Amino acid sequence: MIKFEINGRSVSVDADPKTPLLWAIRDEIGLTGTKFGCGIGMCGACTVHVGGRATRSCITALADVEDTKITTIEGLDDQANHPVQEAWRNLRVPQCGYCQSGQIMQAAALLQDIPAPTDDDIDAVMTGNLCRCMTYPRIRQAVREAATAMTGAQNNG
Amino acid sequence: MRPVVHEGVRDLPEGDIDALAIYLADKVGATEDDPAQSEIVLASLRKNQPDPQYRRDLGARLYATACASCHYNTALISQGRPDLGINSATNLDTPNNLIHVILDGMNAPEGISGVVMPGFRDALSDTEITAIAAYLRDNRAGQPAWPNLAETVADLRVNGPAAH
Repeated sequence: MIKFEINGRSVSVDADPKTPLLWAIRDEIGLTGTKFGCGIGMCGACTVHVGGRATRSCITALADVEDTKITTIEGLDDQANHPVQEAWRNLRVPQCGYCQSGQIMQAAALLQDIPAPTDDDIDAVMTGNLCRCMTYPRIRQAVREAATAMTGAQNNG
Repeated sequence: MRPVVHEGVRDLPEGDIDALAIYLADKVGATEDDPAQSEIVLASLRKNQPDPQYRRDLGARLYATACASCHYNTALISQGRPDLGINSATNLDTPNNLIHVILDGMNAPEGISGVVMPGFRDALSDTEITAIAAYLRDNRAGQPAWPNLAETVADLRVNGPAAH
């Protein structure tokens, strides 16, 4: 049994310790907002927060997250009104939507660490989150909007 | 490393911990000045700034996709996000520590508590891990290339820490 906290509740998962965290989240815990993309930590679709850090759940072993605090897209905000989610809705960022929960989790972690990122900061951190619909310009704009909303800055860029 | 750091070193007298810190700081050339003003820290931060140019180098490309989601900094260094250019793993004379952590990651009790780094053993080939390590050594640490890097990656993947 591997115990950890997910979206504020304690869970124990009875699975092979080598199981990727992603499959524990989707198949054992039943939270399917986190997506499988490449399976080798190269596309960002499976991004969740472990201890507040953006972490690729498809290559993170279940055993390694014992006693950690995990947040998935479902737990980012109770009402799905995290400033990043609001910016995403306002700008209608998603096209097909598959990569977007990973994008949002990565952006939320970025803004926690760098509250007023430059475009270069955004590009550097978000580059690892691929979007095959090429919504990148809207993603960058939404990150800027969310940063402005979170810091109350007049002009971010 | 966990038993050493979390269950061993922490019980040492303050003076011994200071001595270890001074030794490690000396290894990367740190001075006693304010770290935020240290030229070595500032140079490392500058190298960590995003490069808007197309990433031709395989190591730089892989770093952007595999590592930069968590290993990032901006002009102001944030606590708990040590820059890789001043990390001992990229500055030591052998690449072993860096290769181990890329292959097998860090679980929650290791390193910073509650944070994990996934291992890339099953995700990246020897060639790709070699490219990332070479990129960090050259571009971030600014140190001369490690000899036999590719061979060391292949060796550590198969033989693991026990062989060293």
